[in-house]
Amino acid sequence: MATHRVVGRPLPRIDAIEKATGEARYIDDCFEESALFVATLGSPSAHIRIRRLDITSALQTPGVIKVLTARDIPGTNRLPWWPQPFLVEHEALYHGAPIALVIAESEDAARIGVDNIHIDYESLPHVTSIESALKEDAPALTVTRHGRNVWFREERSQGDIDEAFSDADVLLQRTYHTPFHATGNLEPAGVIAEPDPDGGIIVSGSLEPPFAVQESLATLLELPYNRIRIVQRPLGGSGGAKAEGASLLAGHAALAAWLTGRQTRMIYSSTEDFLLTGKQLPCQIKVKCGALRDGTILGCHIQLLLQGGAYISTQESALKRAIAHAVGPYNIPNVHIDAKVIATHHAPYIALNGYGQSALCFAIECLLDELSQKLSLDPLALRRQNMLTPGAPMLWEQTTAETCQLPALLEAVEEASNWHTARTQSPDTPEHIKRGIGIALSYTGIGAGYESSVPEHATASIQLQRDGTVLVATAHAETGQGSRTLLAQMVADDLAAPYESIRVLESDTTRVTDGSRRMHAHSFLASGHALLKATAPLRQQLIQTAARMLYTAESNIILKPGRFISKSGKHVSFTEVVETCWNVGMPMAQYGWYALPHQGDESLYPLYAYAAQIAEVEIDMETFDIRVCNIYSAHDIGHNINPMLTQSAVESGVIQGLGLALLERLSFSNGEMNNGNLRDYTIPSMKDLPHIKTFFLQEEAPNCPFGYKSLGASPLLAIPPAIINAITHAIGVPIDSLPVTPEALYELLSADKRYSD
Amino acid sequence: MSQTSISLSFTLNQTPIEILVYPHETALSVLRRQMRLTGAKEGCDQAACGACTILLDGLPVYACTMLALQLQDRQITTVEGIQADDGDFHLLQRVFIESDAIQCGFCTPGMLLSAVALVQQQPNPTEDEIRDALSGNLCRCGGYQRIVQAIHEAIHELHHTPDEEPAS
Repeated sequence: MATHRVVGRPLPRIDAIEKATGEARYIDDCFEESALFVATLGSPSAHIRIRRLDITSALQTPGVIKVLTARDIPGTNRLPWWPQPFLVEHEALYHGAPIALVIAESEDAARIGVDNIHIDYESLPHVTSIESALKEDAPALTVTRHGRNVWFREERSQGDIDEAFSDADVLLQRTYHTPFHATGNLEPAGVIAEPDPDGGIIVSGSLEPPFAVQESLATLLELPYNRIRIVQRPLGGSGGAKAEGASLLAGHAALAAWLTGRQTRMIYSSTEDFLLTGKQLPCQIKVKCGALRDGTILGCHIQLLLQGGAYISTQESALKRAIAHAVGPYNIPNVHIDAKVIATHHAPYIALNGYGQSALCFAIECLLDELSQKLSLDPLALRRQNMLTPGAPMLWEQTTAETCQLPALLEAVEEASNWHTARTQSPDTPEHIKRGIGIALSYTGIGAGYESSVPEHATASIQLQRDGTVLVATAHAETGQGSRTLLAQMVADDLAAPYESIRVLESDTTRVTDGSRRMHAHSFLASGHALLKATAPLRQQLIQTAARMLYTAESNIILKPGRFISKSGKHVSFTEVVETCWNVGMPMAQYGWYALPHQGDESLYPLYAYAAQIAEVEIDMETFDIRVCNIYSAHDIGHNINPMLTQSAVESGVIQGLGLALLERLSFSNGEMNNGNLRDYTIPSMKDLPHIKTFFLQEEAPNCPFGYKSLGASPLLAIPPAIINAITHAIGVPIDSLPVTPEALYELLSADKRYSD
Repeated sequence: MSQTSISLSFTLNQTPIEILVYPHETALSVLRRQMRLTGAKEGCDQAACGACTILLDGLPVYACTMLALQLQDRQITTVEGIQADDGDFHLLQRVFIESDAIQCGFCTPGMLLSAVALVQQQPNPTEDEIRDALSGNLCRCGGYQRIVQAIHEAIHELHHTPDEEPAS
């Protein structure tokens, strides 16, 4: 790779100015007085049969124009890729499942209209936990060959687990639990739909990826794809209704626009955003592990039950991701995993940050700490002894972990945190404060890989404008991770275009063609590849043109930001070269297409990102308040395209992981949500912020755009177990479920003999 | 809604405003819908997230749970009003951009206004004071460390203007 000029620099985000001035237009900021508002009637309970829907008084509500039910759908009332209806016909399978839409002249009128719909319904028996769903006489959401209420099951083995356990000196078995999580975005999901004056429909909104929405609207309205345009607005956070669930919301708004012929706005309130959209559902993980007295781990047996909700959604991907990463970044020769997705009367599972992996990482990493305790070994040393190293065999007979830099990552956090001192010496704190330090490692597959059952591809288009500015479009969503900035840096470097002259557009189905349906965790890698395929011919043409303009050979041309320079020092500007290209009739635009390798034979994912993280906590034994003081977080991300943005990404993941460890839990009674709002569902605030020290190990990774691996869920994954292990170190009591709130800690300590007296 | 509208006068970003509002309307709705200033966002709509933060006589308040009529005779500042008259960005806007204290950007206007109020009230805040002052503004991206650093940066700049540098 040539020396980089723009790539590698800590440049400010390309969209920071519009966001700092308030000029950025999120979907709720785009409104026309004439637009109609659409509000949703969701199921009042977890499982009901609708006898009759009385919409008379709703229709009489001043301002209400129409009330739509499943019968009004012109096409098919079913998402194209999983069997969820856009609107419930007879039987609602979760609290909040959409039943009817009220279209009104104002938001107030629409919401009053919803309240005025009378549902005559019968409550049916429901299963809202893994335990109740697996009972023999449980009401069946599904019966598959795997059993009652089991959507999917997959088993995988390597080595001989029974032999490993019989050879082991120590056996340890624990069961871990993780709760419901909500996306908790500050910006609720929302869309605006309008009939296209030239035929068809246009939907813009806080959604990603647009092609899934396009496909579902085609089914719903029986329209060809080229009559459906989906435009993505800036996203105030993603996940939930904005990702997998976007098709339902966009479908509702589009249906209303289609049937009224008018622009319709559908912006969820924050409480609707919690209620109506998907969740990350609970997991139960039973792990048994066997080790020798010296710390060598011989085998690991895992039973994973992942709650999947009422419809098949992305659970199979989560299941496969879990299996691929089953025992964490360790070299364990004998492994057996049995993983199931359990159907329950809840909103469908969605893939939040760390999906399929974070619960398992919590379980394995906490078990390792207990194992080290049992063997009287240092937990860091136990990890060092068993972790993946470059060249070590990886799980499921993949080729070796060639880009793995775990040894160096571990060393970085060990040194920075003064691990051995902190772990062994009594801290200098007041008597009622206990201090602890904990560690966890993680790795995460980047790219679609094993979990993808459909082809995953990325697209990019690039246009040189005559004035020397550049337009870039991809199917990739900017959700705050900074991808538009990184893509602009790549274009700037590859084409010698001035960074300031590049505009990266929000994704739009008319700007690029069908990218992948599921672009969430893995699209930067793919979009970067696609973009470089688009820039390659343009780069060639620009160099050729510059060489002619400077009367020299192409090989004498050096690219600098905004300029092409010849060996003798003469130069032409990017703008001049672009204009010349136009004048001589060269192509001014190119298209890039990249198909992601998936389900490869040698490797389950194209590559992996590794992380080592250490947490230090202080616990107030009088108030049970837990404060995370320090986080040391080390990552191998390949060539760091923008050190400032990647550092932000790590700090963000740390905060999100802290939320999972200590704060976040959606609670339900009888399948109905208790705390579905930002007041009662606690997310981390400024007061929870620890000091975060980030380390990056840079080494250009092979087969990555500009050698950058991307971070994926890496910053988040090991944080919950690192914090939990630190708490256990402080109080001496193992912890098996998340989150550890002060109340949970109080109960834990009350149940422990040492503390209860 | 068949209600009588009421006259309301206040100062918005240094401009006197006189408008008619309904008694049930929130300050946020009037700013966003009627005044077309969409910098203040509607997030949780229950005074928990801070995306709707505005300055009321220089102090940060949640506009989502405040009635528009409570703005009577008050000085209101939104993110659209913090730039200098000559168009220069406010120091805090600049450090937020330069220190990467902005990710998805939805919390940014509210976060900036809380920071502006803090720096005006307490020109030399401690780390704890910064955290206290911004604890009413949530950032789901989790960009808190960058935001705190940006504010430190701004305070440092306030106390070390380029002109003073050689002297100190």
